[in-house]
Amino acid sequence: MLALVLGASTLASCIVRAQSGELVPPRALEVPDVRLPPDADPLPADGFVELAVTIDATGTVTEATVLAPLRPDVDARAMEAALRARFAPAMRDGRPVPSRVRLRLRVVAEAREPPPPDVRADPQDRGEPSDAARPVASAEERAVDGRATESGSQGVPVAPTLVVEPIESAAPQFGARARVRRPEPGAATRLTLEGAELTSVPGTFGEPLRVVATLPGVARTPFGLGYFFVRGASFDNTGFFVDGFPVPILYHLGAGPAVISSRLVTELDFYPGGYPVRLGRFGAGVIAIQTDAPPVRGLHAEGEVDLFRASVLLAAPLGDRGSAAIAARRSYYELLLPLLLDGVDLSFGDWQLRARHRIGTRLEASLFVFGSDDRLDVTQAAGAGVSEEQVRTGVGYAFQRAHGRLLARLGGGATLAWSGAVGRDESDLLQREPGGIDVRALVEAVTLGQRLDLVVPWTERARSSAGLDVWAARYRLFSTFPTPPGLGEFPQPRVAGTTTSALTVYATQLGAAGYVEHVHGLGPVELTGGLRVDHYRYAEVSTVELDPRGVLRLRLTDAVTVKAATGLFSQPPQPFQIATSFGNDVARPMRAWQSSGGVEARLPLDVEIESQLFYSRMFRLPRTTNRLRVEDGMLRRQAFVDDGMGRAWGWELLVRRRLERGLYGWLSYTLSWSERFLEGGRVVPFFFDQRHTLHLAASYAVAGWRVGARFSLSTGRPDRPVLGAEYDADRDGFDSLRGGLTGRLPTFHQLDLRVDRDLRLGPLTGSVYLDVINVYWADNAEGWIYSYDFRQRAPLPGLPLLATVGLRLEWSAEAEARRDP
Amino acid sequence: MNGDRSGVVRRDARRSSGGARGARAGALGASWRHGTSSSLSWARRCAAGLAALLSLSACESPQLRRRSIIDTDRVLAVRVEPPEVAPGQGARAKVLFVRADGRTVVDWATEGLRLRWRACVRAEQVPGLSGIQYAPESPSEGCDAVPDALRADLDVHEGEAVVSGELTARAHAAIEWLGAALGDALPREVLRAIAQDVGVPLVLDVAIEDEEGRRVALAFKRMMVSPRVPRGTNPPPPRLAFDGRWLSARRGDPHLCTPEDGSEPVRVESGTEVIVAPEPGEEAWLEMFPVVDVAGRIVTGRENAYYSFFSTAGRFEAELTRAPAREERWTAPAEPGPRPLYVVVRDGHGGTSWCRIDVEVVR
Repeated sequence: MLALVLGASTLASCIVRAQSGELVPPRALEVPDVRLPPDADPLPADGFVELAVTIDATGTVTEATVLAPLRPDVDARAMEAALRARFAPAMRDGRPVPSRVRLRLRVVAEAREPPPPDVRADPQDRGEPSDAARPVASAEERAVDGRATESGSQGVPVAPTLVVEPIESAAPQFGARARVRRPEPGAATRLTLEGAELTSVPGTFGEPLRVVATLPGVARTPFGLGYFFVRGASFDNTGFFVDGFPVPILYHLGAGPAVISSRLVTELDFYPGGYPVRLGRFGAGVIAIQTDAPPVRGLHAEGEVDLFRASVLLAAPLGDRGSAAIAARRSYYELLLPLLLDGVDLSFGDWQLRARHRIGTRLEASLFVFGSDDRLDVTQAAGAGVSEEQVRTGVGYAFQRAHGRLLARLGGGATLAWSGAVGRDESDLLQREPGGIDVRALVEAVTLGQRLDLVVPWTERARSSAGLDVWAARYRLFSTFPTPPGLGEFPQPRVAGTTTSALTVYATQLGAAGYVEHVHGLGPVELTGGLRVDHYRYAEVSTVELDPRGVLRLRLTDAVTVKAATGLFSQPPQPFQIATSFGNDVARPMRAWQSSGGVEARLPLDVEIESQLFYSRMFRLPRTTNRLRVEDGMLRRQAFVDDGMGRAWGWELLVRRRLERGLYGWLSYTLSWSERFLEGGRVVPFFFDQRHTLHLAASYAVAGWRVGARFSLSTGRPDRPVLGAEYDADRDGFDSLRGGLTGRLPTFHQLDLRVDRDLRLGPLTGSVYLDVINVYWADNAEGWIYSYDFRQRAPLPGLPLLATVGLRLEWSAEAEARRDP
Repeated sequence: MNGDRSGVVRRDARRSSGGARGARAGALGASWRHGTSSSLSWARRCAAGLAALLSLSACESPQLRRRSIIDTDRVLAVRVEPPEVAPGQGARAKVLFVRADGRTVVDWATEGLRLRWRACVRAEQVPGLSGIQYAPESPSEGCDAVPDALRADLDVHEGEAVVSGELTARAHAAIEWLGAALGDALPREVLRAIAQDVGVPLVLDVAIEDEEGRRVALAFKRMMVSPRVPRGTNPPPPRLAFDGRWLSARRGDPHLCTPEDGSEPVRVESGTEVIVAPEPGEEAWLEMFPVVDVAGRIVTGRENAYYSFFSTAGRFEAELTRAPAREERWTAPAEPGPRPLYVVVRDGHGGTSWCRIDVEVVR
């Protein structure tokens, strides 16, 4: 498989080179220096800002977009410099033609040793043809000269590095600011997906944040739901964070996009395990996104529309001290689904307001107000044959949040940030069973959060951070259910008219945490040590958990680094698990001990490999039971106990070709075992254990087109085979006789395709795309539907063939003014 | 209106054969057909066409066998007489087993079948009586995991199993074994209250095997062993209004419902819908029984009447009804021929009765 990927990469590279020979790339004539104020924070020695720059046939830059941001103040100045750059236009057949180049402005820190050459940015090291290398060399020369003359002056010069690609092969960068990172705690970025790698992955409908589902460590989620089974843990052990505060969902239902516009997302950190101590209260992985308003210099508008949804974003500068953006999205499945599906109603929407404002040179304030609403309602015949009565399944998620942040630059690169959050969550699950029996669970929550984060860089390779993280939630749980008979009543036939009961309970969870972390580099070694102390208070529980975590990275050569990490993690129970009426009010927080070790290597042909082993041990897992106990003379049901245990281990592999010359691709593979311990020491597979998970994704851009494919393959989850059935003559129904979790659902496999075409409509630029999920319409059973007597079964189908065409357009006043001075 | 003197019911079916869902699908299909001419708007046609081409999403609901349609050999009910006994009191049990063609099996040997009855105290059935499925960590091993003293193979006489008084006495005295088997799932004081005031369930397993010993069907039923008085009884055989004509099984064969007016056998025109309405007034036979409520107190529960309907063809609207909405609608199949229709009534607390209506579907 690896040979296949490498071979494909080589072949595609040859194709790119052959095509680039027909086009003489643009050549940089003048790229202004980027200067920062004297009191600007120090910049990292090896940082860079990467922009996509559109150059017209006269050599004038008409448009610039930040692809890889570094820091808002640097990004804004880099974009300004890019827009003032002058080029000799690209030539085809002796005539000037418009082109687009990627402009990488490499930071050169003042009064420091020159940084080592960026091997990835240097085309000569990549063995690229001289046509592409020539303008880079000239730009580098001037930059070096400029640095020499400016050294010691008030500014911080930035050396531009051009990576030239003809516009035909330039990837559409629309809407892609986010970088998906998958670092170990305290480590540098080890996986960064940028630009086209985020917006053109087949099967994601162009949604950058959906790309996480294809990374190592993530097991496949049924029906494309926006939850993740990470490293053998349950989906509720992986948390979603926005700017340091938890949110209930990050993705819309129905294989939908993220609940936040990708244009507002500057970073997405995916931690399959071993996440940093500044985050907490989840026992497995974390997906944390950082947001910001786009750093625009004039009014900017974007819109996207496809068969299922539409979105819009408007951004504007706030003087020269910041910017603000509003965005909204709404699905309209209700227009099309009724034509195709009977009894399915799906809708979602989200909105955001994001603003950032600099107050003086050392203080910055930001505000983020956002919300999301999802509704899915499915009404169909019960069990597809068990009964002709209608059953209804309804799922609803909604939340609103307001985040405020004050960031103070303390000098010497140190920062102190205060953040506050207030929000409201609602989740509503409804199951209307045959006979009109409503089983409903509505959870409403009001949440409050406060954070204080201090970061102090002592040296280039030593950094300390510390902070406080307080979180509180007040829950209201409302549920309806068939009135439980007392002991002595026989199981009843399920039929209309059965009485239901309603129950409302309240629960409060408080969490206060402090953390400290230090990263220290010495020679080839980098060591990270951290400690998080969490105080949990809920129901009858008041406890303190200590979570130490550590990471060791050892650079063996310039191309090979080995790493190891270990740490403890804790997570409080879900609110319904501690409800006094049926839960367990003394359930303790679950614990997990996670360890991993592996190697990162850079290979020829722009291929990178990351391989690691992981092992997790889980304790105090909530486990469902049906105990009855006498408490204060009262008989009480107890649906949960906290004595569950589990373990997961496996191997993760990522083989990736970064986006170079229009081609990118990766192979992601996870080999995993996840088990749970039952009473008596019996070991069974976790319900969503998947032994093999494989993703192959590749995309290639040529002549304004980008064509990509993604193939996914994963082991079916465990299943308890039905050995027979016994008729319960009192209940008038069958009880299945099942074995252990010895069977598995069929292997999942799916091919997705995507085609993008860049376009320009007058003052608008953008792209049109076709995205097809499950091209050959694999059945992909997500479970089994059984007949009333369990003698007959049919697969519960997963996502069908799903295709959409979409149009993305953007307009920028700044680009417009440049085109028409 | 409901039937002429020949007993043939004439009424047009008001529903399509696919039920409410089928009716909606039918309506959609109709609109599609009309849409090509006039009623479907241009915009909708465009949207639908685009969707059909570019969004080929569809959920195909698999068609599985329906519960109310008898298409295989199966058990429809088990009846114990009496359904609740005092410790030391015996009982008899019988099973309603039908062939795939709808015939009731009466002479087991002629049918090449053999009945195997077994009774035991199954620990998981005690908390199982709380209405919430008790889910032990290990799959139930049925009577096999029960000590010999608490289980017995039952003798069969004239198709009925005989439960001995000795076994019911031992079952009621099994508190200590139950407590050990259930561990901490049920406190001992609650177990004792159950045994004293509510009763201990004795489970009757019935396996129907063919001549080669292969199991054809498996069913179980609970009977309560309780010292309380009065104890529960079975409901009387159902009395039904079959499209307005009263049928009952209270004369002659206790499990065959025939017209009370002695008229000709029941005939139904193919494709017509028939209302089958059990007689109201269950208050005459519904009973009260003790329950340990969620607070651990002894409270009084009340039985309910549940009606199940089965046939070899046609379509049932509800399949299962509960008083007071006890009425059922059955659409006769298109194919003519004899179609037995079974009605089973349960009181929700172990009591069961049934009867069969021999329906002739005619064109």
